[in-house]
Amino acid sequence: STDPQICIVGSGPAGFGVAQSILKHHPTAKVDMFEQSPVPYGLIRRGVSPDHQDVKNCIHGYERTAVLPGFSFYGNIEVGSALSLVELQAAYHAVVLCTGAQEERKLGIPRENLRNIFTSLQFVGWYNGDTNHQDVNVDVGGRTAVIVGHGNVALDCARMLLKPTHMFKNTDISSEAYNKLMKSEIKKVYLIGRRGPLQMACTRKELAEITDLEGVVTQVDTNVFTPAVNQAINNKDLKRRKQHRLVKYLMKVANVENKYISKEFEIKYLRSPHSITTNDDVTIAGINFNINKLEGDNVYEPLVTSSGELEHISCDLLISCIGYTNKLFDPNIPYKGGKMVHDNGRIKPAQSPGLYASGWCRDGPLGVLADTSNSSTQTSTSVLNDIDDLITNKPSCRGYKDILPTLEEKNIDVITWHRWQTIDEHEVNEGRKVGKVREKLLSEESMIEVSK
Amino acid sequence: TFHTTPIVAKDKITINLIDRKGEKHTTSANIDDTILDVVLDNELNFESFGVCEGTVSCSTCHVIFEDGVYSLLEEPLMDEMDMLDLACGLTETSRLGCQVYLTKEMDNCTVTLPREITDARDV
Ligand SMILES: Cc1cc2nc3c(=O)[nH]c(=O)nc-3n(C[C@H](O)[C@H](O)[C@H](O)COP(=O)(O)OP(=O)(O)OC[C@H]3O[C@@H](n4cnc5c(N)ncnc54)[C@H](O)[C@@H]3O)c2cc1C
Ligand code: FES
Repeated sequence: STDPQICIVGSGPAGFGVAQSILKHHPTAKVDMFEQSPVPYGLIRRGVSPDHQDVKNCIHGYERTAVLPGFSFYGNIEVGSALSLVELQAAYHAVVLCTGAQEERKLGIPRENLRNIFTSLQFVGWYNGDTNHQDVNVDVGGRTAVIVGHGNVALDCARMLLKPTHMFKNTDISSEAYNKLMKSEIKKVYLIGRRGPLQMACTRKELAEITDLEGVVTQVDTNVFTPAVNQAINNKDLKRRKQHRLVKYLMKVANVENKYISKEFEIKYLRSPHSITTNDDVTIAGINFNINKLEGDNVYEPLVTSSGELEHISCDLLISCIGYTNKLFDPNIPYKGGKMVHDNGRIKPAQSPGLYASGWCRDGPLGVLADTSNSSTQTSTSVLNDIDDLITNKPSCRGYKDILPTLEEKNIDVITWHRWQTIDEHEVNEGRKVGKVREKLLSEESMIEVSK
Repeated sequence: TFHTTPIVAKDKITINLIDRKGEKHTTSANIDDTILDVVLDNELNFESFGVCEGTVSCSTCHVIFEDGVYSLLEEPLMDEMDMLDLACGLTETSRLGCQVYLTKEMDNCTVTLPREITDARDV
């Protein structure tokens, strides 16, 4: 047959974005999506905060794509172990990698593996019911939490500790996390970054979701609002508007008098993690920071130098949110600066046309849904432009038919879209019983069991 | 969608929408509807448009207005500004399609979706 056989690896926004536009423009295309987890949607399920349900509306569009005649979902199949990239490339005219960024940077400082220290991947995974991070034992019995990082993920984590827990009651937060957070004693949350206010990676909206909380007082180091910063934020530069609006907002909310204070949120700048301290060699007691200085003429991209001084901050819980990194997917894929080397989504290891990538695995773990959608529009355009040539070069590809023997031989329990719908229905029903939009299953075994 | 009041011809205007590939779609549209409503009602099916379904949390409904029409619009609210800051290819006359309501004055206007951004080989 000459219908295009296209395979997508990964079922997050990038994967669904590519599937959607290929099927729209090429109605006879066959699009097969492979996902390592039994359940779809990537970070929409495992990353996006439970109180950002509106962001998750994108799932409705993915569901419409998934029921198109040309589309198939094959969950519980990890490409790289269950199937190799070489096998996929032999079976399909085009293979599109949409695997996201699956690893996280560590702080890389002494005593980082003491108790109650987590990466955001662990902490976010825990409250979002990610099957890979249910074994973490988060202790919120102490009074102070330090969050390292100034991005939106850091703010997601801070909000989880500052926002009254009952406000998460009807979301899809894991009940385990909900019950524990209900008993939280955390009263103070620090958000600590290496550089200054103009370098914060978060958005005003995410910040306001905390500073607008009743009973939460926000403190900001005001001496970071230097004359140079003050001058910069009044420049009308569209590309910098996001940063300027953020800094103006920070100035407005810094140290506002507050009559009723139940929790404190303190934003600190110019601090790089130096070492963890402990009193008993088991649990964290605090963290030392190197105090930095910003130098150079460019107020947006200053040089960061250490002043040589240290500051100690006592804390009971530490979450590092310093960014995700790409897991190198295949030794033949070229990377530069944390991104795949590509030409409008085309990856070109020598002699293998028909390999593409989109989303965080291609561009690095930055940006929001809109950026990922953009990446997918671009990559699917390349696939569609190339597809006739790819079919001519590889006329005998049979897609899933060629893959099936390997899956059968390895005894892999494939989760089809229909089986996912059974899981989905189960989770929504379980949620309804306790007034939540969804109660997620917390292990792959239980997902597979329920789908039978 | 359903309408609570019958639609009469004089409540309609014509608008031109230019999609990500530069193709023009001319449609008639109800006054007081949003640009997102127009796209959905006419099943225009633009590439990844309106992903959060009008809840001001995605910025994929980003559209660009002509100067003249842009100046007629009411100022964006804070929520819209926040999401606009994250839009790809932001311009001086950018707005979110789910937040702009059509008025009589907008008859025959042209609204452009940002082009899909193709980057030069990233080596
Ligand atoms: C904590 C957090 C909160 C966020 N909140 C927001 C928000 O509020 N609003 C917003 O707009 N954006 C938010 N984002 C950003 C958004 O989640 C990303 O833009 C988007 O998910 C990236 O999509 P992706 O498809 O590239 O990657 P992912 O969503 O990570 O999807 C990748 C998929 O590939 C699968 N996969 C990986 N390797 C393999 C393999 N070998 N074989 C098979 N399958 C594989 C994974 O299991 C996963 O399902 C947030 C991100 C994080 C981390
Ligand atoms: S549709 Fe998402 S912001 Fe308008």
